[in-house]
Amino acid sequence: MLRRYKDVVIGYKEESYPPIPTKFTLWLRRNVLVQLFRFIVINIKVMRIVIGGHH
Amino acid sequence: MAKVVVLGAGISGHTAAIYLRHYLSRKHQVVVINPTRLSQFPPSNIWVAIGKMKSKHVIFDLEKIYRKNKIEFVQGRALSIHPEGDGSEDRPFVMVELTGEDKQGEKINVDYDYLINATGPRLAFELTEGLGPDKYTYSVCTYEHAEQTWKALQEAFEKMKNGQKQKFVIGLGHGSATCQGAAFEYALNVAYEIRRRGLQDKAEILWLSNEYELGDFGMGGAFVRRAGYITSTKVVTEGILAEYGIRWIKRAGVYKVDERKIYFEKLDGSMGEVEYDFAMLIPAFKGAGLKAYDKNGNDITSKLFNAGGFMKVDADYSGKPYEEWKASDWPKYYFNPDYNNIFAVGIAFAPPHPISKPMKSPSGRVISPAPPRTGMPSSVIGKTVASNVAKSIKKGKLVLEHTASMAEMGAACVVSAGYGFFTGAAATLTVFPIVQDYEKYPEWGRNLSYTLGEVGLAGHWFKYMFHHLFMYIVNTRLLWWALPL
Repeated sequence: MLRRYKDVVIGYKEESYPPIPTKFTLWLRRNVLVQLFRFIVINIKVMRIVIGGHH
Repeated sequence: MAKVVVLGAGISGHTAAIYLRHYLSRKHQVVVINPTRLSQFPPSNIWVAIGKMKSKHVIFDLEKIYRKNKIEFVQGRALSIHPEGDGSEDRPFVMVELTGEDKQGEKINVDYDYLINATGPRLAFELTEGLGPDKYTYSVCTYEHAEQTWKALQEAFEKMKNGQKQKFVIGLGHGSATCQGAAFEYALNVAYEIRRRGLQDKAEILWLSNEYELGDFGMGGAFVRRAGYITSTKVVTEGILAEYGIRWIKRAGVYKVDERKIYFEKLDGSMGEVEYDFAMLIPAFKGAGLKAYDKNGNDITSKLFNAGGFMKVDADYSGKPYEEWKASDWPKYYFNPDYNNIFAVGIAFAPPHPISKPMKSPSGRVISPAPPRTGMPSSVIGKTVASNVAKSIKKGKLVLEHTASMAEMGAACVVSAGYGFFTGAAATLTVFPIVQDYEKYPEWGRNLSYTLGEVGLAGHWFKYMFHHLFMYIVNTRLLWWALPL
């Protein structure tokens, strides 16, 4: 996933300075337990949005 | 007995129709008019366009569903609305050209007590020279387009396997096009599939957008809490593109495509062009092009529709400048102020103004996204209007109890790449409300506790679940109405 950073992050161009995830962040994104928790959080947030969206 | 006619069976129209049938007793008629027998769930077209789903997984058979639910189905295209009837007919009606195989071209009048216009967008490829699947670029806007795009993508993969370099340009094909989320998702999926095949050294991928800053998504961007900061979606989006090895050009209004190059004007007036081998560019959207006539046959199209062909509803169309925009400009009930028994839902309603700040190049070309009204807002609006129409029928007068303003509802945009349960990832963006309300949320325009932006497997699972949930609801399976929408 990260092998192209050296091509993308080149100074003095419009697209030069994106944030780059650390190895730990990448691990968190793939960790099933962490993501299960995030899945529940996303569902709760979306449910609140759906229910709160029409009155 | 009342008769409700729904024009169009996309996300919004179909939702309105099945909820109307659910709310109303069988003595009332619900009629749906749609040019095709099949409808689709457009967000999943992305999966069709990368070969992870077949068309049959994203389409649903209207005739079958409507037969089961006692909804009348007319396969045809609405041509004109006659809200006062005409010389020979007192009741309001819609003139329809039938499109079914046996009666193609035949014109009929379908009368109504309440009309819900859900005709969706007309894909205005012609506004950009050379744009569209019949010309040089591909699209994911319909399942047929997505199938065609997948075929072309496979050919590009083959060329790369044979050592040929390929340049992919994905983004928006017009200065005012919207639906950035779909194009963005497709760009990530293409990048993912290229990497999965180990072909990244043979590919160059470019994101080409009309947004002022990446992450605008036609809703003026958003702010999310992230790693101890309140961060703009610009930062989140740029990070995701960089991760996938995608370069970008922003503030670009595409005006022409030929067989080798895409031509665009930038917001600062400079002209640019990029070569491409494969391009998927979303076109501008227009209204369906319905006409309207009064009792005497006078053309009243401009009374019902704006210049883009979208239907006027209970919104503020005064054309006030950006600095004076308010959340209250946005419609709550979606009824036409001149004819209160006509409603417009989904993309068919005319927004009062964009959400993103309107921008023009020195030559006068609009280079800023139109407001998105697809997906979640479409279905919520469809359901809300169905509820109000059903109440009005039961009470015998116009009752507007329920509201669904885009300035009071949120949306989730899940941009998923990859397909497996443990592979791939999704960027999830939720915002509340869609249209910023600086009176209620003076700091950020939105409620940050509902607004999130994150990347991970969770969003990927959510999108997969949402696809199946939606297909369950639209197919009106057991207790479908008990599910959240």
